[in-house]
Amino acid sequence: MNKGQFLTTLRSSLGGLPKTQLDEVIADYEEYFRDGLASGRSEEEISKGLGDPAKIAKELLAEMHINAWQSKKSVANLGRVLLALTALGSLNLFLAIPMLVMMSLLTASYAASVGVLLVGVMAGASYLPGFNALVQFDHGDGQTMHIVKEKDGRKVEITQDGKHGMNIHVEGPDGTKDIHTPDDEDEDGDVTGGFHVDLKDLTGLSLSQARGATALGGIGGGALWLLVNLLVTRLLIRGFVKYARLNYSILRGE
Amino acid sequence: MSAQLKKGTLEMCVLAVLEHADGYAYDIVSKLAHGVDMSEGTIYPLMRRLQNDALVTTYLAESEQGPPRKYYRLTASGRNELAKMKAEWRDFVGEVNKILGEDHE
Repeated sequence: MNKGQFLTTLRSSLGGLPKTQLDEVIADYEEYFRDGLASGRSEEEISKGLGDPAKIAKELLAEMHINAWQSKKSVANLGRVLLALTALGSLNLFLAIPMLVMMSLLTASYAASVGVLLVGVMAGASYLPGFNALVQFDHGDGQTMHIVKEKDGRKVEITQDGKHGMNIHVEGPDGTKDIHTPDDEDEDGDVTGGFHVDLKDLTGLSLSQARGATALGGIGGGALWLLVNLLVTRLLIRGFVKYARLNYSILRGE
Repeated sequence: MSAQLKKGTLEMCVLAVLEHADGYAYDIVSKLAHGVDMSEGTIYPLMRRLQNDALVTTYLAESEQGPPRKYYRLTASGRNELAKMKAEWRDFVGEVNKILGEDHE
């Protein structure tokens, strides 16, 4: 391999690098060839001594990406470090898999914590005026009607849709009461008829107390959970960067 | 010299070469190549790493061979790091020599 072939391979293997950085690397190796030629070696001898340009490019990329990550800790830069180390073959598959499992568990945990937070926020928001009465009509195919009225910790909810008839749901400080209209159907499709009434005392809390507890628990718990997630993420990323550096330093000097 | 030992010591050797005089890449490699069987092409990734860790800095200086050369200079923290590495190396070699030397004692 002569100087031209070496530099061409190096240049093409360094694809994606900003031009100024690419030019700097090429200038480095041009200087090396100049000094080598001046000391009486041939281009072939020098490029043989330098080794495989594709492998050199991978090491340079890994070093540059790690540096970019250290100066700007963005997900994109971390991704580049990951890719560069994978290209070097220095990311151990057995350690990469638990890493991926951790990442997906963490993602699920994020989603759940945001869910809890949202429930809390919604429960809290129901205290605000405008949320106490919800009336929803749908006169389209679904034939649904949904009316909610709330006052002084009591709530009346009337729902009707094409399938289940009408349901009246009453909540008060002492529990809840459900009244179904008679058009429930049994397995054979016959109308079973008659009212049935469910009386439940579920919480022992008044509605507003229960809602308050949900709001506080949801917002507090959700925020705390989210915070724990962020901390775990930070630890994971730190650990990963350490591990990536270790991988790379093992590779150095080969 | 085995590959594992070589990897760990190469960085220290480069810093040691730069301890008394600044150098350019070809010069550093020539000084190392006699004793350390290294792939010359890795000098630049290695120098870049040392630069990233702020152990060396670079500057351009005129040369007889056309365009200016890139010189590497040890920084203060590079000197500290080298001193630390040397101490660790001597401890390590001392321990190993003790074990290897058991035959003679």
